[in-house]
Amino acid sequence: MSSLLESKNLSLMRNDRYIIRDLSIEISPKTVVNIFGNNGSGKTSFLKVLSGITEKTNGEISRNNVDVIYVGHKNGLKSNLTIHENLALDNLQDRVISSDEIDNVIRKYQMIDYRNTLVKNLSHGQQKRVCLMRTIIINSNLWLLDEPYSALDSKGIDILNSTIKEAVTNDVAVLMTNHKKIEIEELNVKNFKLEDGKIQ
Amino acid sequence: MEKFNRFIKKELLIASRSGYDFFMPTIYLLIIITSFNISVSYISKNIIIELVPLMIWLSCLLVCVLNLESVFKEDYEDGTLDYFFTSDNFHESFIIAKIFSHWALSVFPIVITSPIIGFLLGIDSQTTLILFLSLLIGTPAMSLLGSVVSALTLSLKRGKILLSIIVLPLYVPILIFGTSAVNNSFLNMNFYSELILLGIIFLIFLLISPVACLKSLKISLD
Repeated sequence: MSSLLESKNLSLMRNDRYIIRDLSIEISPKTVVNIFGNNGSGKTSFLKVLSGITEKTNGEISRNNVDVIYVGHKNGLKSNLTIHENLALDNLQDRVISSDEIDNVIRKYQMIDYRNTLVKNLSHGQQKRVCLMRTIIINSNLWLLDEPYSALDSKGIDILNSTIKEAVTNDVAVLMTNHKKIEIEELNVKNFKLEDGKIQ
Repeated sequence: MEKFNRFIKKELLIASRSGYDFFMPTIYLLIIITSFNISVSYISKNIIIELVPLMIWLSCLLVCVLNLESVFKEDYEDGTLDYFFTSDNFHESFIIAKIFSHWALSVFPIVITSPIIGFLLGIDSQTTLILFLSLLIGTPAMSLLGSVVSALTLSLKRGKILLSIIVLPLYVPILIFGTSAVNNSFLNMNFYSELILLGIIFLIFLLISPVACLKSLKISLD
């Protein structure tokens, strides 16, 4: 199966210091990759370089018909809009999403009671769930998730895991970063440790 | 076009929820013009009437500069720009939509208010009309140019002062043509060439600014 995204010898330098160094990775459909490491090990920078937000210093990135979605520490939601408005007025959608379709996704994430609640009135964990809803609606085939488990309660973790499982069955690849190894039931998560900008 | 409209709708919806922010530029304009009038109150009325359109133009320029920081600020702080830049669907049209909605919400109110203020302060109807037209063409050009600088200074903590310092000299040609048009109208002279020149400046920035903004935003996010 051809890879969705491939990086070769990817490096990023800031102030004469390597943030990431010679990182090579290949992401194929239906795979879940977890890059874990301590704070400052270069996890977020790696995701930002792969997603195209940050320019690489060296190396190659090749994408093959891939629609990437990046969910970072900042959620990209508008705090003065409701959950439904945030999803319905998503600017990057090619298609117009029906209100029913959005409601179904909100229901699936067990937040239908909060449908008309402003995002600023939601907890951090609930906002993360809204980000996941948007990820589902966008239909991208490569998800880059930066510390998706942080601030989630056990219910949120279960929802995230089942979302990832469902996505993988739909040919989506997931590349995420965390502070520790991740195991998801029924899924083969490839865990790589990142230390000082290098995969160990 | 559908995405463009959705973008505008979203921006308008956000603005409608932001409460009194929408009225701030107009209130600020009124305060500046009142201050101007108080400071020149000892000058003869004929001279004041001649100065009023120029005062209004300069006030609008200052309000525009003060607003510029907010063009991309919220999108930068809440991660919307990160989200946009990962998508292949993010194009210059979004930048135009963003600048247009920012102009419509924070500058257009003063474009409407200014001629009314001018009329109330005693300038004739033709000059009021030319003031309105010159602001209608000149302020979008200022927004387009200012957005590029706003995008460049986005990640700086004290970017507001730097933004003003960079942008104000760049606004001088727009200010010259805008005030000349109004002044010529006041003196019953030809004002069309100034308005056409303002239009040309607007079109040039309409072509350049979205591309330059995209590059500048990329630099700021990097």
